[in-house]
Amino acid sequence: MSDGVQAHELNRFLGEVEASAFQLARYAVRDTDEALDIVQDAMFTLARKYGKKPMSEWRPLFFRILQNRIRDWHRRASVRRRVVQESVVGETDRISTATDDGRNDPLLAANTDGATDQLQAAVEKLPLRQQQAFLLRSLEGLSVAETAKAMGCSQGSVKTHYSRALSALRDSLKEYW
Amino acid sequence: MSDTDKDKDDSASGTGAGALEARLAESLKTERDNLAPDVRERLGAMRREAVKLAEEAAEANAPASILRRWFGALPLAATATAGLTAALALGVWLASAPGAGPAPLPAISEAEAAVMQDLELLEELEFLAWLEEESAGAG
Repeated sequence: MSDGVQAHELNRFLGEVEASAFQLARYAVRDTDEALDIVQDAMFTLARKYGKKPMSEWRPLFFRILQNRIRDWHRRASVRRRVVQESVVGETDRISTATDDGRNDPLLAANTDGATDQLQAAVEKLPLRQQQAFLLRSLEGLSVAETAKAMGCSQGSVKTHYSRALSALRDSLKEYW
Repeated sequence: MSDTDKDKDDSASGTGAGALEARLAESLKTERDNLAPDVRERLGAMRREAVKLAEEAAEANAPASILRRWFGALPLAATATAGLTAALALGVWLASAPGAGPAPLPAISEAEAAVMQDLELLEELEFLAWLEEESAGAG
């Protein structure tokens, strides 16, 4: 990166993928700030560790890092939920045990209309793997092979996740779309 | 990936490139392209920071930088080696110098030796006298 060419390319690449990455993370964690943290972590990791890799490898690598960060976030959230549940055994603390569905996020609400609301709700309801496979394919336009690489699974699994996601979305949205 | 490839993938997955898929993708892309300005701003700041990090990482891993690090550390290493060598040499010199090591025990003078011999003789005589007294007492 000493000649600045690679830095310019990295800037261009991150500029291309940052919005999609944010969308992927936002749907996965349903929180704008958490999603931004995840994207930042993925960007920094790519820059620090893989900036010297050929540019053609950046896209699958970046989305692989992003998927790992999303998975880590869900693992931590799961542990946090368990701890909270154990600490309120016998109590009905509905606030601490309530899950955030992200509907009240003002940043998101500002950009939505009725149809988009339905789509967002339907995509949010998808199981994480189906949701991510669907978004990587539809939103980012990754091929089955690239999606498999990003998600760390087989191409067959990607096809299954994508097909199920599409089927679930078709069912959820048939009244509105 | 080309559109042809994607269509091939889709048909391979058995889903077909239906109208719903196209509409969903279009809607998601519209949503992506209309992110809130402050989110855009934060993403841009992150990107610039990431590029800076990449430049720093590249600079740190450049051959010139590695050489500079090595040569930069040379004076320190030389000083440490010289100090260690000096300490070792001083230790060896101190160990081999005359008078080094534990002081020898002082030699016993002839007079002291004679006194000690006399004392032993006196003790022997006293013992013999005591033995005589004892045997006389017993008899």
